[in-house]
Amino acid sequence: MKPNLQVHIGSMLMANPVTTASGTFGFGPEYAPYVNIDQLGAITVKGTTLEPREGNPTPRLVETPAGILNSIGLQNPGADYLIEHYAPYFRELKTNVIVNIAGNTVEEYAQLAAKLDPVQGIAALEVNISCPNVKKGGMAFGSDPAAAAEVTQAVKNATSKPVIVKLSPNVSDIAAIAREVAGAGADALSVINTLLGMAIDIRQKKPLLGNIVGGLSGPAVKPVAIRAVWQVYQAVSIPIIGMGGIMAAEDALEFILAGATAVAVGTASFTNPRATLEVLEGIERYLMANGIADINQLVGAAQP
Amino acid sequence: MSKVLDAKVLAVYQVAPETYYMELEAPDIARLAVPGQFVHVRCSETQEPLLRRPLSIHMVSRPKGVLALLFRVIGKGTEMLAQRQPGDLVNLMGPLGRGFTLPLPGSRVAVAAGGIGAAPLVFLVQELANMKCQITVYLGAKDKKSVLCDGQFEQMDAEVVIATDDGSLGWQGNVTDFMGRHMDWRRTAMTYVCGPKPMMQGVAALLAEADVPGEVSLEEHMGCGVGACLSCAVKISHHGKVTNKRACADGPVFPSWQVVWD
Repeated sequence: MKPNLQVHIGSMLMANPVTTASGTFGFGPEYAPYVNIDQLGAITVKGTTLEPREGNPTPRLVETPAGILNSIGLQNPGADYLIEHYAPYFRELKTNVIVNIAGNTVEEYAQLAAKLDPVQGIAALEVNISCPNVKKGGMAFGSDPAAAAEVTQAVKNATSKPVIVKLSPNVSDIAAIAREVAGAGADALSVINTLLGMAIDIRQKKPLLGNIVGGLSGPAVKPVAIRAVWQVYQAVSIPIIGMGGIMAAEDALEFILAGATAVAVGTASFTNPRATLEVLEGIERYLMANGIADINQLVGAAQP
Repeated sequence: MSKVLDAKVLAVYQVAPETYYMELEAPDIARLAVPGQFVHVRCSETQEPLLRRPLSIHMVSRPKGVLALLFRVIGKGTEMLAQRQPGDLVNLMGPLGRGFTLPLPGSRVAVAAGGIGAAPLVFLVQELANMKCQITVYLGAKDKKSVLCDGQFEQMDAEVVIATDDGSLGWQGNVTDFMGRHMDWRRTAMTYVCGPKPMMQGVAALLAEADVPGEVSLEEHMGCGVGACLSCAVKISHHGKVTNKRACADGPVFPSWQVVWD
């Protein structure tokens, strides 16, 4: 018998627990030659701001052991462009589209959420309070419990769509931030964004990234992410989308056992453009091989 | 549409210092590819290195379903790729990117190659020769040993002008200087350039001065290769407005007059 893969993230029903990590999957069409996007539980698209942004100087990407450092800096075409050019495509998809939103101020987050609220084809908003690559906003909100709560509440008040808040690992107590954000009304949490990192070119004696620092992702960060999901699961009762270094189904299962209801595949898509679907297939095989009828039984199953 | 597939290595050998030629069985990619496009190559089976390597398509044989790469070993990824043996499988994504714009049949064209930049220009000259174009290739290299593809260009009836930094073959100096002194731009319908950034910038400046069209193939650190991650941003000026374009998806080939060189 086919196991049940359906999960709920707030009021959003996902046919299966696999989505994409924002910034690694464009707006969807980029990966359409390799993946039937409708087979995924959701896609989470590129971080979007009210106004278009040109992002950071190059180089924006550096390879590190079992990972990559990026400093894209939220380059995106802006909310109007998204509504005009991508929303019609989102509406044609059978899967859920989660739009990642970012801003410089609490008001900007709220304005953007209000602007996207009536847009059909967007199933949920993911609030990016954890981008390490922008000077204002981003991580500044995600590392202060009160500011994180304020942004969450402002976005909640501006939209009827489920609100997922994406947390930064670059904090001393992620559980404390999670509690504040959940208390402010978040419907779910994405755990984790990238880890702030840096690399230096020893020949040029200069930082390798144009922005000097960037966000580390890929297999190198997975143990940090698993720990964060574990701690957040113990702190709050809202669902968690786990992410950080998922390359294969085995990694995704670790996240689910730690407490994630859904998982996002990010950097792995660069290595293998079919990684999202292969993770999904592997999860299904695992459930069948272990006689587990419902994925939800596995969520947090490793917790005491 | 681009594919992802395992391609069998048919041949691999070293052709110049740190430079390898590799033939792969990839009929689905060979059929669709146009000059200037690239394949995104998984060089490792493990997570080290994690990212693919974008390599320009050097040649294709559509009847045989064969794709050829010519690449320089510059790091761990390309080093691992060079060690593959005939019969091994290499995972490829492609064809990717926007290639060169072809001229009218029979046009007189110039092709400027610097170092490993010659790789995609062989495929281009293949197509230009099929279109009965009159082709002059300006081929620059460090020294005689590093001159790439001169025989291939000559076989396709292109006139080949060689410039080496040390003068060990052809003209002593760089391709840009040679072209600056000797080109008759009024008789050149189109110029195609691929090479190190200073060389492309130099030729682009000559083209701008002569007010004639050309195309350059840009390089930038790439992640996804499909336009999703926005790592490989290049500054492009269009109608006076400068924006970031993606080398992987909007390029790698861009009109020479639109590129904003830092």
